[in-house]
Amino acid sequence: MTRKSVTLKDALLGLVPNLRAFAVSLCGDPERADDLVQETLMKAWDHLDSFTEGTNLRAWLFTILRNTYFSECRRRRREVEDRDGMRAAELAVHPGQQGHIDLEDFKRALQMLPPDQREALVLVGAAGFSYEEAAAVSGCAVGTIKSRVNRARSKLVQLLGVTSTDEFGPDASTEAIMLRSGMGATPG
Amino acid sequence: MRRMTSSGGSMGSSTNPVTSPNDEETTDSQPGMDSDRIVHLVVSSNRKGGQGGRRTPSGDDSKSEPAILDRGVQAKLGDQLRAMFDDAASEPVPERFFKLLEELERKEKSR
Repeated sequence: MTRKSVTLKDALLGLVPNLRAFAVSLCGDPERADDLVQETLMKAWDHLDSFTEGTNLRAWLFTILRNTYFSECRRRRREVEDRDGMRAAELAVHPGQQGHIDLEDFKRALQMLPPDQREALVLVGAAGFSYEEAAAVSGCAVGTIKSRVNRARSKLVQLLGVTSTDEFGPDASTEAIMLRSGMGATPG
Repeated sequence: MRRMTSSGGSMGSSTNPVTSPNDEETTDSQPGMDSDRIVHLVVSSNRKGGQGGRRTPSGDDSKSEPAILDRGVQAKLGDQLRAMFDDAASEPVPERFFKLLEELERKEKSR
């Protein structure tokens, strides 16, 4: 039994960076994220017997983390709503005309999404889970995940005020040149 | 003498822009194409056009599902998401997690 726990410790440690990234993407707060990771590790250790060996440890840990996060959200819903309201006001001020979206804008917009949509988008779009794996982690149907991801993407685009790829940065000049030459083309 | 050739039916190349899925990249080598129009055509391609539907790329033809995003925008979103995640995942593991796991291990051994 002890030999098993030695490898478990290493396996868990190896997944901490991933868990932290997932947690902070979900809750948007680095401190709270680390608390979530801590709780996840403790639960994982205590409930190791419910983990089927040979299956995906990462997915199992992600499941524990998201369950912890969502039950916590339910517990302090009112508080969370207040904070989201404040964030909404903040983001509304953001000038979308700057022509450049940096990572901080992006993170803030991500936190504006409904939590279930954010989760789906992070699992599939950032952590590299398949739709099937993400569905298993979130405990819902594959179709639900797909729909959440689509909604999340559209909402993000809307929040960021993105209408074309040039808003994201460096490609802006090439596209502008393309447009100009396209309009300037005359027959003959 | 200047002549306005606005009635000409040969506005640029008449190849179907819808068949080129990756408009951002392909238009780069074909400077004569109206890339603005291509984006609109791609978005509204599954609708029998003509009735000015081209103007509203966000047309709600798919029930309650959100509008299909431009591929370029979607790709950029993906890049941004992964960048954010990888950024966070590349941070060094804080000391507290080493301690926590050592503690858990110690407890189990003494059980």
